Amino acid sequence: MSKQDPLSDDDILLRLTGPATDGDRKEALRQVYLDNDLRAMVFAHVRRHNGNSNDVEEVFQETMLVFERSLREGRFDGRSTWRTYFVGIAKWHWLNTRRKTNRQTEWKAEEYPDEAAEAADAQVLDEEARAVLDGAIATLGARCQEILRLWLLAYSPQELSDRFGLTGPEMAKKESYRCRDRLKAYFDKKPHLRDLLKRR
Amino acid sequence: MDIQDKIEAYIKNRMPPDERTAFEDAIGQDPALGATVEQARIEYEAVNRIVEHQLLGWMREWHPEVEPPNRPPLVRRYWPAAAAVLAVAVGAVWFFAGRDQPETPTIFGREAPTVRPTSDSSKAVPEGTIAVPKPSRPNLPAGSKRYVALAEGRFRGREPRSFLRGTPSSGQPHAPDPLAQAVEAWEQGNTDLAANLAAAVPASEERFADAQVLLGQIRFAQKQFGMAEHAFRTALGTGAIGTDEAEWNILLCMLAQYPAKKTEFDRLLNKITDDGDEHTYKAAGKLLRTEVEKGE
Repeated sequence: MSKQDPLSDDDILLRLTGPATDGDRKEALRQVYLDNDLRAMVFAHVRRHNGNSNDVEEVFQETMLVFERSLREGRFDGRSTWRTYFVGIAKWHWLNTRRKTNRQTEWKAEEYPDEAAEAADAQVLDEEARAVLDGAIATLGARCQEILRLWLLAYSPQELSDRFGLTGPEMAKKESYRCRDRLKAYFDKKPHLRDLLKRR
Repeated sequence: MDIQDKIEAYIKNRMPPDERTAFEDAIGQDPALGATVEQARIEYEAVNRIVEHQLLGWMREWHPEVEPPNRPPLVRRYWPAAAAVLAVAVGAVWFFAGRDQPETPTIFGREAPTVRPTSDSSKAVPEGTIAVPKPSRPNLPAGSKRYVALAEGRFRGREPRSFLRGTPSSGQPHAPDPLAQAVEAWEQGNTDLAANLAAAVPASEERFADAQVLLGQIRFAQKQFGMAEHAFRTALGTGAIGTDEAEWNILLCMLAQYPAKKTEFDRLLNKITDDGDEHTYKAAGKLLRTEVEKGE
């Protein structure tokens, strides 16, 4: 399917919740990111609640990260459409951002009906935690990063084995454990960073 | 299913609810299992950052396609037709009014500058002028201008060329080096391209920390202070750069976002000024506090 052909909402959901190739995931996420209706709704909400254009873009990007993860992890329960869920995450994220930064907040329950979206936004790590994690993954080689990325995206050991030319699925599992051991070794050397992440 | 598979299913949220409850009970009764699961969760969060970085990279790639949200729909829908009408009108004016004009084109009686191409072929800059990149996010709240000026006046940026120290000379002059290309783009004033190139240096690359510092400087220059702060924090998190300079720059990023980031700013400023190990910016921090308090 070319980039010009719009995916249906069902197709987008399918690609982001089930097994999909990198190309399929990318195209689905691209259409979400460029969706003018979603952007307009997030824009209107953030601007109405004292946000500027910087805030709008930051909220939209953060929402993309939370949305992608929530769908991948099966946390979207389908009780609303994914569009409603997306906007719900954006609203909660902007509310929580304002709370964290002591900006004035006003609370209207009817504007925040989606509890699932609230739970999704609660997973957002702060900048300090992200920097610690970035430091940890920086110590992995490109191969380990790619193996772990595919492991996270639920590629099967057989698929990992095929992609990396390993002798079989067992070897693929061993490789992913070996890469995760490198992360463990990093945090063993820096227990204060592990503690910092545990507190969150 | 062995214990590793169980832990994996648990942290990936792929365990059936009843099994999940039983597993959580087991964690509660076995501290060693709890510690193993916690470690696995941290590893999972780290790997999730790899996926996030991929998505952030894609979003940077797609961003030029984003349509401004408040553009009137009619203009958006009919802009090709409007452009064609405008072109015809301009052509007609030129045709009828331009015959008696001197050969050198003028604009309101002044000689028009010649136009030279820049490295970005989509843009052109009049000869004899300096291309000033337009900040992508210039809309700062009026109240923050004073703090932005304070932050900008105290920012410690490195010279662009200093980022090239230690660049491996591979003997392959044409091998692409995103960091060197980013420095070059920045020197040419193409800050968006420079930021994209700096951000493209992977976390596995030895100079990732330097690339993040460069990215922070570029974002700061673009007045994208939240993104600058994130880049400096990422660089700091690698442990491969000086803490004092990075903390100072993070502090200034927060100052530029003041008062939204007041709490975090105060906390970091206190850390710098109360540092028993004599933080490099201890004195500067105290002066900065006085300046900030003057405006409150």
